[in-house]
Amino acid sequence: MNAQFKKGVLELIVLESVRKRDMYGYELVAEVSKVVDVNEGTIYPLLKRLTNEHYFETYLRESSEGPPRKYYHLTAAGILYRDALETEWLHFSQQVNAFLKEHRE
Amino acid sequence: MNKQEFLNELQSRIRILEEAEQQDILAEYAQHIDLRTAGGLSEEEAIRDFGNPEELAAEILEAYHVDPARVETPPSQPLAGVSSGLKRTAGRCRRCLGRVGGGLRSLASRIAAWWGSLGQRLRGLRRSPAPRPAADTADAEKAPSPVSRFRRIRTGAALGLRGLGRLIKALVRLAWNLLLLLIALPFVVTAVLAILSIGVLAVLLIQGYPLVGPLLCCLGLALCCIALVGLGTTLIWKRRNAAPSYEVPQGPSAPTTSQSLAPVETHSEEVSIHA
Repeated sequence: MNAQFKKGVLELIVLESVRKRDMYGYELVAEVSKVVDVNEGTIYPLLKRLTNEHYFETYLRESSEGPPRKYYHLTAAGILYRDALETEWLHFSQQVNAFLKEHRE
Repeated sequence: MNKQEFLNELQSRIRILEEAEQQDILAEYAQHIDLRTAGGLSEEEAIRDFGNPEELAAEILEAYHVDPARVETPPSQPLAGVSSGLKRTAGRCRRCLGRVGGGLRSLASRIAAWWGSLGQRLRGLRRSPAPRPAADTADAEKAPSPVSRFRRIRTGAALGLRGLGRLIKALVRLAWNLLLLLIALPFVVTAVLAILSIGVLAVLLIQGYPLVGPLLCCLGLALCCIALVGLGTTLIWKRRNAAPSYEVPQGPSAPTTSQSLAPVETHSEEVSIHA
């Protein structure tokens, strides 16, 4: 898949993944990897950026094995941002689909 | 590349970030690698999935709105040695300057102390004639005769003369000290300027200009001036410490003028001791 495509929708996928329940980094990477084949390293910087922009809150929770894990929680601002991105995505994909359909005929 | 190498490499590239953030990021990657190896992958494979560490670091820096192109690449080993050496010399310079500053501060406090003592002495001089009328009136009440009046006039004249003498002495001393200060001032100024140029030259030297010679010249100049000023202040300090023994013979010689003067004299002596 085109890297530029991935980059654009990755934010939306990450935000959507965390919406239902809080996740820690590795879990989130695994979840996102189900949808798009992405370089695992690039998801962490994205998480960092979204956290810096206050769309995520993080907290540490002990795990049964290994060191405590950092969980990501979607904030109210994050939910709003996710909704905006979804609307944008739907509109955009609709337009692209309509365009392609139009040209196919 | 194993886990530790990868983490070291990554850290060297995100060094611009705060220490806590660096540790946070590294911990996350370390945990990811641990979980991947627990899942049966080797460290190398897990790290390969991260791709190029340089691009990864660039993406991390972007998350902080840091332009990766502006972040200097981690220095190679010899350069690191040089920079750490420079840092050490800079630290030494800072300590040295601090010591010089301390010396200047102590010099200033000495001058202030000297100034204060001079002021007190002058005040003492001005105060010492003050108790005279009280003592004199007491004297006059006991024996109101022309002889005592004559004595009083003589006493007053003598005391006035002595006060004038002391005042002149103090003034001469003040002038002398001011002269010394005036002589010392150019040296102090030169020393300060030399230290300033040492700083500027050191910066230029670090940037790669061939300025070792001028730097050493300035260093020599600064040391020379500081040494001269130090010598001067030490000499003055020694003289000032020796001063009390110079004032002692003045005391016993005073009451030789007349018997009736004795109580007045001791009083003024007391004042001057207090001062």
